[in-house]
Amino acid sequence: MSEPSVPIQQFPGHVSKLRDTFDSGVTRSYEWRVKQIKAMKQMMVENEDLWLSSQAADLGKPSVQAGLDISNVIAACDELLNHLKSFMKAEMLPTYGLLAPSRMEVRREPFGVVLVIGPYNYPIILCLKPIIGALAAGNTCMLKPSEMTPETSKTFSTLFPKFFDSSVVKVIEGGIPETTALLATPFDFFFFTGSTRVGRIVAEAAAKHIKPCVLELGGKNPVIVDEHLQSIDVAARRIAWGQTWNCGQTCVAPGYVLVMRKHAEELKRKVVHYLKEFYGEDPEKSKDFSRQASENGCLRVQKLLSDRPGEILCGGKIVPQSRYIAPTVLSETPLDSEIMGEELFAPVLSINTVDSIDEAIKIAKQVCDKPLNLMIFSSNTATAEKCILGMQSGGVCVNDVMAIPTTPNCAFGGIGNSGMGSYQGKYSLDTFSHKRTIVSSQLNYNTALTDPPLRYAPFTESKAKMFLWAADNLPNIPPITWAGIMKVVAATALLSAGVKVLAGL
Amino acid sequence: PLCSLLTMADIPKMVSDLRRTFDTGVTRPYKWRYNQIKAVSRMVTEHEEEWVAALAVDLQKPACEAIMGEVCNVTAAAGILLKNLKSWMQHEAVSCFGLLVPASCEIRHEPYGVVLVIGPYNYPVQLTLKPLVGALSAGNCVLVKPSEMTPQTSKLLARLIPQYLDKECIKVVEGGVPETQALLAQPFDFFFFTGSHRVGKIVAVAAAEKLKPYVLELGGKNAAIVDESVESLNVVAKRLAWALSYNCGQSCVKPDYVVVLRKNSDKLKQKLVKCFNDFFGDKPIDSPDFARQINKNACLRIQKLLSDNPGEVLCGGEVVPEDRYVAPTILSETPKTSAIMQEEIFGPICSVITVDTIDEAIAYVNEMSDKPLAFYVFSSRSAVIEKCFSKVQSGGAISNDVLMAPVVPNMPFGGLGSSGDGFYQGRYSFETFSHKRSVVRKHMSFDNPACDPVVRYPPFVSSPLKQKVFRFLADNLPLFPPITMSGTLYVLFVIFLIWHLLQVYWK
Repeated sequence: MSEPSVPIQQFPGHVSKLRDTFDSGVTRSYEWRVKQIKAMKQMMVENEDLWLSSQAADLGKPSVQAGLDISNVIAACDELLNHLKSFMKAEMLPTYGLLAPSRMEVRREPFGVVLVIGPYNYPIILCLKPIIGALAAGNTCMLKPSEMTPETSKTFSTLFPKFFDSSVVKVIEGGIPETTALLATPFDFFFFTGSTRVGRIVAEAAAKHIKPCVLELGGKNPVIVDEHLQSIDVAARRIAWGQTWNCGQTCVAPGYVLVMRKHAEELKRKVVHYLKEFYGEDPEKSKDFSRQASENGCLRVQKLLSDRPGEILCGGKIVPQSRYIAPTVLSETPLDSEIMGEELFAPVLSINTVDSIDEAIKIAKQVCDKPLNLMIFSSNTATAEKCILGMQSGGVCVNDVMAIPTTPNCAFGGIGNSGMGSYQGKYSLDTFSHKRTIVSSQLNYNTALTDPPLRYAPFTESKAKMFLWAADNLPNIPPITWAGIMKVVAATALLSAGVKVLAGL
Repeated sequence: PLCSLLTMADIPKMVSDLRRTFDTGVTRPYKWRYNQIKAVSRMVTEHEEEWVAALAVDLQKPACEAIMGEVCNVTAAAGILLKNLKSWMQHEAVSCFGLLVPASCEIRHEPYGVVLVIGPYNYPVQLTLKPLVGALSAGNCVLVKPSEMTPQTSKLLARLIPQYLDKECIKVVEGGVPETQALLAQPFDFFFFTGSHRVGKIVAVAAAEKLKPYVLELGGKNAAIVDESVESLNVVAKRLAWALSYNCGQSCVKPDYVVVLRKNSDKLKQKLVKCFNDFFGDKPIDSPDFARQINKNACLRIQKLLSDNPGEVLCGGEVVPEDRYVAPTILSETPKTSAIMQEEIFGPICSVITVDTIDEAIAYVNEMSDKPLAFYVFSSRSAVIEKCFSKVQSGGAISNDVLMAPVVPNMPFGGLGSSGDGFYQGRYSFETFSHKRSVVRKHMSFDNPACDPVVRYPPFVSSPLKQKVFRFLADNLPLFPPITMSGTLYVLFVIFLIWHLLQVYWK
């Protein structure tokens, strides 16, 4: 465990520096925000070796996986740049009839100082994507990376000051005492990725401050495999991949499979087969297989595996000292066993047989009511829809696993115990902004509501009638903007050209 | 009373019944949502006299206020939802990440499940029914808890809602603190609360313990600034006076104090006093157009605030607790440390503070109000207005008028910091009460030949070329825009037009 970089007594000083920067208004400009995004990109691109080595040290992550993490952050930056300009334009709304003439717009304004608490499984992606989202929305940030990935945290502490002003982003390393002190500070927004247990603590802290929070938690994610499948091989391959990528430490990883009886045996065989194809006979020796972040994680899984795991089709070996958990496939794990009761965060997959899709949905809701990810393998659209509507989940993947956080633009977030709020791409900009309604009225031109004085006392019956009539009948007046005018002109031109052409035919 | 004992025991079952109903999927179809929202609209218009009568008893609300400020708001809110719901419910197709192609990516708005709506006492009809229609538009089941401080309105809601709306999906629980506590212990999927800061915090913590999202519509010490460039002080004074006295000052967006530049200070004070006289006559207590405080305690609270160094009382100041009456009151130059400047007044009282510059005004507001729900600036210079807006954070802001944010049915209404969390109204109601669910759909046969079967899967270390290719693809494949029917037709039409135009004009 690394030494905390900043003593707790100094926290308030740093937070007020971040607040001062925010209050100065410098974060409001488009140019400033673009500068931050470009700085993030540079920080990723120019330090690839440092990022790769820190991931290898903390998680035994193979360089191809770490490389994809870097790519993911860069793609996120590009997506933000795509949307930023149009996002920053105020949204004009039609003028409510009673208040015409006046201008009604919605501005997206930053909250202020955002606290981002990062997890240990994808420390690069899950710390930096929220940070750059918050910065792009005009906030300043404090980052508390996970103490379970000390090399990555050290890399953050070293690199951030080189690319960002410390009054814009401040990195605080530390463990529970530091996190507790930060949660007691009235940040303007709390963004947490991690376990449900700690998520609850963060939510309560945010609630006490009456400040918004986003929680990206997890859950026991089900995979439902239908009897209508184009290819069992493809399904098995994708499931095996999802199960073992990053040693199973992915919040959207497959937790267990519910497969229709027709394909059950073959699926189990194939998953085992592909695991061997990926990692060889002895995965412990494979350089493509990563490690758990901590010994405790291994011990926890070891304990869970001791309670009725079902039949062990392959794997099962755990070496806590080297943080190794073998890719493990279990068959017919009892639903009330310890393993089915918790998110494992390990490359251990249960494959259970079901006899109908309805049964699968029922079991999935029992095991985990609202998981972060629902995965369905089926060639039948209706079946997929049935599953999607049959249970709630953060997101859904049909015929694949884990797709959503790999994209830079899909909304990524949970529901119920798997989290609240979402982000990525324009959803990041949305999440980290307050929608401020601005109504600009006039003192000279009175609105239909005001003079003649429908709205002022004394009230008469006729006044009330007039008001009701006006409220029911005055139309909303669309906003007049240059873009709107151009659109009308272009549409007219297009239409008249079209009419000419069609008439000529 | 016996009936409230019955309700307490019933509460857990009511919530689990609502959840069971939600699970059947009956609230998902467009038609169901449309019909429920329409029913709410009919419920307020078909019983208008009863609503007016209930509000008259509970708040002594003038009929005109009851219609303008309650009934109309609900029908307007319902109207916006009805008009747009179909298009809002469409799944949003988004571009597909290069590595996933071919795949379709869409974002769906799905209901949370069972929503708890707790209504306040100041606008008990609109601030209970607007969140209700919002939650219904998103396809949720709803349990409504109206304020116990407006018993007639609460009774009317409890009687009419089951008559007009789907009884299995929308339930009403009347009651006070014990019922609210029992409700907050239930596993709702979303909590929507309008009310005081103190209770808001209790709701937020209750929701947070269950890891459930919530919206809090609270209040704050709202501020107004009057610039020296104002052309028509008459209009300013009238609008301010209206805001101060509407609903006896019990609006979460009512300005508690006005900071005015010296040039206009004396005139503004005179005109405010005159406006009250114009509206309500010499004795507002006798005017049928002036409402009352919710109860005696509220009056006593305000009386206490007024007793601590309020500054000069230019008009009003009377409090008659037995009549729930607080006079429309203008105070002049109230000291910063007075009790009345420390908390939200929620009464028809306003302090007018004189300053010499706009910067001073902005500094005053930032010192006395922490991110208020509403902020008003009266000025004829847009540069001044912009400066004020950018230097003061607030839930919403209005220039040259007051109170409008909750009135306008399609604008997001919500606070910031201590004035609240989250927002609703119009499209923002639909979004707030919905969970954004991303759905990525792939094919098993048509795969991204770059990925499957070769590039995406281990082993990697033994094949540096594979790693390079994978990384190259991840870094360089673009996002593929979604293919929609309208998009395709549009592109085809434009190509067709261009081709013909070229043919005709380029011989």
